[in-house]
Amino acid sequence: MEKKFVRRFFIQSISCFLLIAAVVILTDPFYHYHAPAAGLKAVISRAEYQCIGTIRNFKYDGLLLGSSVAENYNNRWLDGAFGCTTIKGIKSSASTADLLYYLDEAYQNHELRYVFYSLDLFALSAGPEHHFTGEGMPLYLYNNNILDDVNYLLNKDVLFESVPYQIAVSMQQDYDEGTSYNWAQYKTFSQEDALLHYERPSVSAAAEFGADEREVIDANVSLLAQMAEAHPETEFYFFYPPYSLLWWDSVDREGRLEERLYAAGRAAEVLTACENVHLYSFLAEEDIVCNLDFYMDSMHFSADINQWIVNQLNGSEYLLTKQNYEEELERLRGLVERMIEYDIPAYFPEN
Amino acid sequence: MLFNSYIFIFLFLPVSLLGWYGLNKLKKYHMAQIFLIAMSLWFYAYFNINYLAVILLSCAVNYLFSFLLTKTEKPAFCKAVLTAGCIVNIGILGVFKYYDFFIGNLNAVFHADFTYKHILLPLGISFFTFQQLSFVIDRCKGRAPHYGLIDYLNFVTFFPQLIAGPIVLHSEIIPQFKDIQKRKFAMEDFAQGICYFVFGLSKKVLLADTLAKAVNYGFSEIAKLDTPGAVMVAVSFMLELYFDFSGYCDMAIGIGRMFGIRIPDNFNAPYKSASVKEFWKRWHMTLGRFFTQYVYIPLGGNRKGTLRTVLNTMIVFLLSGLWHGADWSFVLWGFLHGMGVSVNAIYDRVVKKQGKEETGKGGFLHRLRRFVCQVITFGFVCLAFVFFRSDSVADSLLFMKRMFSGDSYHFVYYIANELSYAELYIPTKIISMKFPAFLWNFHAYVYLAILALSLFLALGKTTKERLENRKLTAAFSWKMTILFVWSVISLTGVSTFLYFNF
Repeated sequence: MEKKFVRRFFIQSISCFLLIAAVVILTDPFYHYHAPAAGLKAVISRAEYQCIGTIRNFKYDGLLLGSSVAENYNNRWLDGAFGCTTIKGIKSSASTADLLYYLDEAYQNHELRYVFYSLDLFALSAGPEHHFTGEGMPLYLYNNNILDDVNYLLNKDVLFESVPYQIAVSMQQDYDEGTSYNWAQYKTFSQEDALLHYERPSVSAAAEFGADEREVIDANVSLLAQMAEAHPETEFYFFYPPYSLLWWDSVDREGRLEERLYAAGRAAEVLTACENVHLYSFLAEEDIVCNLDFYMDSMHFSADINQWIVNQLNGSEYLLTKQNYEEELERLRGLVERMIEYDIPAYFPEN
Repeated sequence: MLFNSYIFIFLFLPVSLLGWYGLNKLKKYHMAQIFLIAMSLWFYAYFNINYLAVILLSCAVNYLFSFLLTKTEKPAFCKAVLTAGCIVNIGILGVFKYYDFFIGNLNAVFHADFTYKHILLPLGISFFTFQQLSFVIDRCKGRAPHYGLIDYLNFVTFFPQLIAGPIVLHSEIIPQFKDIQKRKFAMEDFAQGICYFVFGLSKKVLLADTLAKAVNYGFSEIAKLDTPGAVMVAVSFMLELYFDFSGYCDMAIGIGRMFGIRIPDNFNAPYKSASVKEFWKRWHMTLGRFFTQYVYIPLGGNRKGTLRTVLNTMIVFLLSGLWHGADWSFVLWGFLHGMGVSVNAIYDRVVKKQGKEETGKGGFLHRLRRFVCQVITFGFVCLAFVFFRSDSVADSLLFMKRMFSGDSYHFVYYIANELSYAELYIPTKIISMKFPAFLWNFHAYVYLAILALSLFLALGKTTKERLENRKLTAAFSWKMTILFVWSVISLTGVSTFLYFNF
């Protein structure tokens, strides 16, 4: 009787595991093995779990890289403007190394015509190591160890949540696959929201900004330039997103203003020298930066702004060149100083 | 390595079993034992390779003590070895587990500024230290022989009981390893082992880990708790701890069975106890056995009058509290239990003295009295566990304050809302879309249902009772399969990253 029980137990268990694994492989909600199966749409909402899979397994020739501020771009806007097929490489609080890791992965088996890179100033001060090894990250989706795929294949949340969600959303006729990672639909944007979500830091002594900090920024900028130079077949569109005046306020109060402005200047100096790079700056777009109704907090703006940025990438109004970048950055400095002195205090009369 | 991990279930355990039975089949008995020691050390080092040095050093020192006792049996020498054994073992535990606690207290009392070491606590150090301490004491008292090194290492490092007990004695493990008849694969034991393991795994993964979400939320928001919320959180923790620890022990017993080794029971439906004294005969039984044999009885036990019995009891429970963790909240927890057991002991003595020993066992009044005592004991244990779970004594007191505040503002709903169940994802989505107003109630009902089920299981039959004389039918094999598969796919999940912590 025991022998029969043991045999039954093993056969039944192994059969169940194989069945579950087969369902996950077939539907593959994190796109770890393949692009969406026939009949299923690209349902993409979890950057940490899905981004690496889409970069490795989707067909595309345009890649949009950035942090959370880049999540609300609709891929189709870029496709329409540049005649390419775009997907996103997103990581919240992404450092330069994080995004270049995605780019490296993309180049493994894709020929990219365009890279659209939302260049965050703070990312240029981050360390040169990527952050995909952090606690809680699903490393089994990033490494090439087939054995630890068991974490994905036999995963209750994947089976009971991700798979049904993918199937249910795929059945929606009007689902727009271009809205990957979009969170704007769940948020409201207004001056009230922006101020509500802004935790104004206390004024601190200027953060140290010396040779070491410059070295980190220079190294990050250099990595970007090297990547562009290594891929002359790709047109790189870098752009500084427009942070609100509240963001500049926090930068100023934390004593990091010079560091951020140096990062903007250094990246402009190096990247404008690269032939296949187009660098745009929306940092000094006063109509946006000073209008908190476009924001949900100090830096995250509404999808309208994302669309507006895409529309500018084919023009030259916001383009930085070797000839104009110093002037433009001086204009930015002037605006920031003016905001700090006049605009921002209006929101915080008690201080 | 954890029992509840893919690597253990799909790689480590099968390889260990194949190696063990394969080598024994080839009559390479010593090689089989060495293989098992090597696998156990891998199991241990998987957490942190530096831990290996600690356990090997501890084994070496204790084995040396045992070896020294083979040279002479003079009482003075035995006493010296006994003293040295106690000092070394407790010293190792003291350095790794209590150094910072000691320094913290010194700093607090003398307003000093001694530096903390923040030593990473080697896993299972409390268990293997006590296990070896009991061996050294038995050697010095002439109650244990000197074993071969391989047998000794098998006893200490045998991975099922290595990091969280049960605290086994040399006399119940080493003879089993020496018995060649036990090296043959026994299907009956193996089948029982599977069942124990599956029960334990599901207790840990499906119940304890689910309850833990409610408990963690409750203890992170102590100041916001209302009375019903605090009660639910406290009961949830009580159940979480039971399913976590007894689940682990079931798995250990089950794995032991798979290897043909019997590991002693550690739990016997403790929440059915009618007194705190009975609770300690049912909860972490091997720890209770250790303290009884090696501390309580040598101190005089209950043979030296009521006052001395109370004193001995308090010493044992204060030590037990400290053994569970280096914090005053654990000491306080031990103190409360010591008080509870002492009250029981005094009551028993008074009853005995007055010759009013209980009669009419089995009658209605007896059963009613036992039921009332069970409820009181349950409440006492539940309250005491608040001290066990809290990060500090201050937090425990705040928790108690909230529990007895009499406030009621439906905090239970917030706790229930923190729980998420992948299994209920689809109904939850449907309710959130079709009947959004009912969603909070739905969460609350699910939480209550889980609590009720957990209580029912904790107060019902033990794993041993469930498996004894159980017919291994096709239906039962399906039940075991479903529990096993459900538990395995619950080992990992998909986290929600805080997107707005950009």
